[in-house]
Amino acid sequence: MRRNTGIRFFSLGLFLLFWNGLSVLLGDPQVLPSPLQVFHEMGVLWQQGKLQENLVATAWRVAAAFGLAMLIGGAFGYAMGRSDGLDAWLDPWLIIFLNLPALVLIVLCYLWVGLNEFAAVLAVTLSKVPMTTTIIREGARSSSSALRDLASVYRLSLLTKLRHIVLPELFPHIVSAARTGFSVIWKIVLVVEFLGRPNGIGRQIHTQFSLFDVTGVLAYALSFVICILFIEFLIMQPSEKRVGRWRTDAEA
Amino acid sequence: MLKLDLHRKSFAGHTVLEDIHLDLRHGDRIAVFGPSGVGKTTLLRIIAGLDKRFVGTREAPDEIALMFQNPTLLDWRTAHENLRIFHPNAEGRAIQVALAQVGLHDKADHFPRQLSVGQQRRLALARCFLTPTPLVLLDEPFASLDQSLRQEMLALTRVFLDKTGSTLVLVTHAQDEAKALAAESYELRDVLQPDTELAAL
Repeated sequence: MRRNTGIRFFSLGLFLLFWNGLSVLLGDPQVLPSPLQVFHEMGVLWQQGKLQENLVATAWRVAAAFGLAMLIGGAFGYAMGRSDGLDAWLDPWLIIFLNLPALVLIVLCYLWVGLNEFAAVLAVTLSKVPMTTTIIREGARSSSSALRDLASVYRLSLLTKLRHIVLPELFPHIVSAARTGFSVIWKIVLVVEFLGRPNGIGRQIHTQFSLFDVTGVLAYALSFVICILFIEFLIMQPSEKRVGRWRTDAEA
Repeated sequence: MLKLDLHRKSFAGHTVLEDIHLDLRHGDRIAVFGPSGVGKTTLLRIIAGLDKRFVGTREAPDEIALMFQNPTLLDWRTAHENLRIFHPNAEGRAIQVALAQVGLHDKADHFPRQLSVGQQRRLALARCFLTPTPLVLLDEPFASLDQSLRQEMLALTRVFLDKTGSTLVLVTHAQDEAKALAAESYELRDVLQPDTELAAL
């Protein structure tokens, strides 16, 4: 394990080296700045307070859309996984929404709702809900009917069933939906901001794009990627390990 | 106590059970035999109140204990929690006693997958009998066990039944199980009829 961690860091170093080499080879910081130049730009933006301000704006949209998509997609997915009738009714809708490009949803939301925060979050939520629904539906389909029977005979309360049976059973699917959801959502949020928000990383990339400032684009993008990596390593992976304790212990 | 007048139960137009009448008093024990696919589990699900789509009437106590062939445990909760969740009113002390009765007193903090097959079965048995219920339904809980574990489970079940005085409906293939639990044998064919031949065995 420790050796693998070493390989990972070494590989990351190689990537930075490769980037640096390419930048030297091209010899034009306006086309491809070196990693150091980008990190320097990030520092400057941080000191000006622009980085934090836009990161927070984007993070808020990601969090809101992520939470809503997980809740709505989870509820629909569970209901469809449990009821064949409902599944037959809603599945065609699901297929339509699954194949509707996020860009179309964003443009339509802005046109119908207006260029506001609600439309932005709505567009991102709508483009993620079908994927969450599909993943949770699979989980609900494979859930144990014997446990449900037992819960019903022992008259467990709805809350107990949810907490001790439904959610733990769905947990691997919830994690998988959260993972794919998170990586997809923050990319869509950038497009939403690019097209119609006054702040956020997407809007800044739009500004840097009109200024032909590649360093600025990379500085904003990289800072957000770093945030995502922090969330992945500090929140996602540890919580997954903690809740999945009963699995790993079993192998020991 | 348990009164079932089942006129007909069908799946997709095909009649599975017909004219079954059960009238059990407190403490009665019956074992239901029959070939696979004859509807034993369906009958048990109707008695348990899990299947309400049948023609007839059912009168049963609210509190029922149920056990399947598979231990059906919450793999993500400890042995102690597995008992507590299904018996929210049981005290911690009672749960400890129940675990000790099935030889799991030092396994309270273990997750089911850390237990052997036999221990998982015994945990399921403890869950079934932790709080006395008027009606206990067992769906082939001793099938596919090795002989010594099977005898151990049967003996434990007998002790619990004698103590609680619960009414028992056991679905099984094995005649010696009915005998071990002092249950009256019934053969499930088209109608549930006392199976004198089996009872005599």
